[in-house]
Amino acid sequence: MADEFIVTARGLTRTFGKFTAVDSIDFDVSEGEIFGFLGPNGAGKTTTIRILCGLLRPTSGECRVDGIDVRKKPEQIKQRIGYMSQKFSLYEDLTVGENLQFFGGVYGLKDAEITRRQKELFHLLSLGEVERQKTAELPLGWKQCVALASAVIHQPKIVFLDEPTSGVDPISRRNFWALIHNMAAQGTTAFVTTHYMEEAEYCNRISIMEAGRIIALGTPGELKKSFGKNSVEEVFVHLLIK
Amino acid sequence: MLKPKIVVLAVKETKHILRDPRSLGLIFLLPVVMILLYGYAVNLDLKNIPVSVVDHDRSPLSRLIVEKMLNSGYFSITGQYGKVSEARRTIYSGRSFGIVVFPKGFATDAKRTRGTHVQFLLDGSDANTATIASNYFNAFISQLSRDPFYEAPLAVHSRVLYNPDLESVRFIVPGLAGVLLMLVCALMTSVAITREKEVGTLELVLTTPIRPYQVIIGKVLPYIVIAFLECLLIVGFAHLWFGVPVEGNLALLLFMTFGYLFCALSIGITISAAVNTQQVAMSLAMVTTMLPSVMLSGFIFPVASMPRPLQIISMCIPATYYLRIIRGIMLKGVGWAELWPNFAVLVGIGVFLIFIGMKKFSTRLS
Amino acid sequence: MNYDIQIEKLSKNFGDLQAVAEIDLKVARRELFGLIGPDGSGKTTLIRILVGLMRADKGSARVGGLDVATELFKIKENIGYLSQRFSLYPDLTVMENIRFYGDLFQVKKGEMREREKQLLAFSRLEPFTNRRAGALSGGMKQKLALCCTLIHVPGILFLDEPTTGVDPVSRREFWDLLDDLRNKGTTIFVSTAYMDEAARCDRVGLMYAGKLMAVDIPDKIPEKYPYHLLEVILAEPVTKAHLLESLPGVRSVQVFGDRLHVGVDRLEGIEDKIAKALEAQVVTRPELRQIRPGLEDVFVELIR
Repeated sequence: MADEFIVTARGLTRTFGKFTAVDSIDFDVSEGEIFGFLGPNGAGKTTTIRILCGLLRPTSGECRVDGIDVRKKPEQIKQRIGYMSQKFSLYEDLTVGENLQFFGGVYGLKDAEITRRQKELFHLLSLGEVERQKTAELPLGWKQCVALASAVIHQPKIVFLDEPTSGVDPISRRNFWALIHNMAAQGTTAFVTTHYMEEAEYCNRISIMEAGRIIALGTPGELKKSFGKNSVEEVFVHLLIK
Repeated sequence: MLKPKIVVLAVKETKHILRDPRSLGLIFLLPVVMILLYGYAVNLDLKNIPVSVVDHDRSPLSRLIVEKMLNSGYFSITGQYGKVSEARRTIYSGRSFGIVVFPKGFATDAKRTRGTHVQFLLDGSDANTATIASNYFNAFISQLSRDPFYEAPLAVHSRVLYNPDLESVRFIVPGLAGVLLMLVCALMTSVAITREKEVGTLELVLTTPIRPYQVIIGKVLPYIVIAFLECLLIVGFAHLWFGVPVEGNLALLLFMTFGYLFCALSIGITISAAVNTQQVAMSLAMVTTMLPSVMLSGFIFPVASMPRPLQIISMCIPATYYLRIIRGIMLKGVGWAELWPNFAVLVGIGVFLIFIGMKKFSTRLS
Repeated sequence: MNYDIQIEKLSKNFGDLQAVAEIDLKVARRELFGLIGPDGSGKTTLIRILVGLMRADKGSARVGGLDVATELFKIKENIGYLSQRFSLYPDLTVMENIRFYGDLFQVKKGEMREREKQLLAFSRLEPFTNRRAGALSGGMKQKLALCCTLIHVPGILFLDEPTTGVDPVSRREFWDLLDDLRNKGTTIFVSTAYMDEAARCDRVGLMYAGKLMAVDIPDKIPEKYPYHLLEVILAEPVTKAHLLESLPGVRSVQVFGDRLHVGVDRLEGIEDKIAKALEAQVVTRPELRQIRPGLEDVFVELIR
């Protein structure tokens, strides 16, 4: 096995003109890990994720996703990852089934495979009979679940979740995280950004970014201990309050 | 079977299109309506061109010719006048397009070998129609004169009034002004208001103690100024560069232009009150202002030749009235006395639409 | 008692959907009232009715003593509104945006200068006075929007999820500003999806599916939790939750970060039962203790 880590970054940097969005960061993520990515808006989280998804080229530094060099072969990464963002994930005027068909097709799955995966995911997500419902009519919590399903329909090795539970009611949020954990247990790595600090507690490890740099990295327990705080939120506030 | 990704995307896109009633309307309904509408309007065949008649001869022959003119369907007779100067007023006011003059002794001369002629005076401010009408009249008379009754062929002496060289620029540029001004005003205001609706900034303003009319007028005012400057620009350019004369009162033209701008703006406001996105606003503005203004206002194709339903639509288009104003003042030197009804109609349409637009705006917000 | 906001049996439907369902609520002058609830619970609709952007189908609402249905114009002179979307002009500068709203509210020139200075200092936006609003970060945009609503010194402020999508530090700063405002005399009605912000309010209303499930001061809300609450700290709580769900006496099991919140009927002997149920899968005996229910615990039970 070439790498024990599914994501590695060394000195990863990305600049836009004079502005340095990501400033020489190092981190590793293991397979099956739930990795939390925290930080204020503008800290460089979105830029980093884009690099990891193969959407943006790093200015310098090394970065590998599932063994693939992000600089040399970004296109290859796309088949192995899934992406779900809070802003958009599904087509509102298509039904749930049609959305899954579409994403399945885009990832190159055969019709039979799509049907099989659809069944699996519906069962996993306890979604019931929503296949024919128009996405626009679903409550937000269900939409998030369907969005997650469409992001993992092709069984990627790593899935990127960008503020996936923003605004969702507490019960649906818990269900959603239960899912993530299930997937992680089966080997899918999850890379999550969130502003809900308690969700950070659910992660195996978290990193806190500020102004392009990683200012903290470790398990929630480690961070709480080293900063002498009771919750990840307090650690966060402590590190970022000016 | 493995579906190619192109197909996957194409299938999805098709679903989006089919589920959006607006797109469907645009794709299927609109072109059909347009083809019907403009198929009839785009008509270089003349029918019912209004002409006045001055018959100095009053002979059975001249009367026969007039009757034949009527029956041909090409012309309609606005009236019979004793003097050319009287008949010219109908051209001046735009009521008729040409004057057919029979000289004294027409009938008697027709039987003589030296032949005789009919005079045809044309309104050159609509050079397009003038040219075609002239051809028609010539053909009509030449066909008549094949009758063995005439010893020698009948001649037609044509004279073009107001635009002697039938320069198309003279009749196009003023018409263009009408279309462009309508475009600027209606398009810009409808888009500007719906843009604020889309982005959400309008909403916040509405939570302050402000009345909807204050919002609308405040927003729209700069566009009146811009459109006015544009009018000056166009007229100035037309006059100085293209040599289009300004026979009449420039101040009157500018004053009446305000009426037109007011009307155009009210269209923009009504559209923005009815729709919520810029895209729809733009499409609606285009369809209801630009196209009819070009096709149905008499800009290029004569209204008189259109089927009755289209003529009625033409009566509802502001550009029709403005065209008379701007062509009248620039090319014929027409004054307030003849043109004020057009101005009144423009202001009337404007007031009516603003009233509707405001009402729609107020109810939406509550 | 002076009530700045009085809502009586207020309802609003969108077709079949009941967005606001017979809400009764009174907010006193100088109160900082928090409306807590997830997306789709009706918070935004309620606020939009109170600021006059929407009409209710049934019921009534009075803001500042004036009826929302008939005296809206007067109400608008005394309220400020911050919507969820950024509704200012990105191509105008910070100062231009503030002045625009000042002029709309017809604030006199002398007072305007005074207040601009105060507001810019208060929100720490002074260094950005001439920056285009579109170039500000999310947190700063919200602060600017707050300044614009405050320029005319309203008595009542309506804020619709002002801190959504903003990091915890900026959120805290924003709430510090709100505290300050309330102390100076403004009545504040704010909605949020973050439970932790509820603790900073004078009173809290939990909203779900158009209904107000509970209204009280933050300290008293826990009393609405129907069971005894135990906290179980253990590894991978998500995967262990199902082990406890079918235990007799256990009424609810919820995952909270790195621990489980277990609602039980009786405390006697329950600790041992739980430890036993977890034995098979948990190596070390988990930490167990009784805790006071938090807002989220109450909320979850109310909507189940």
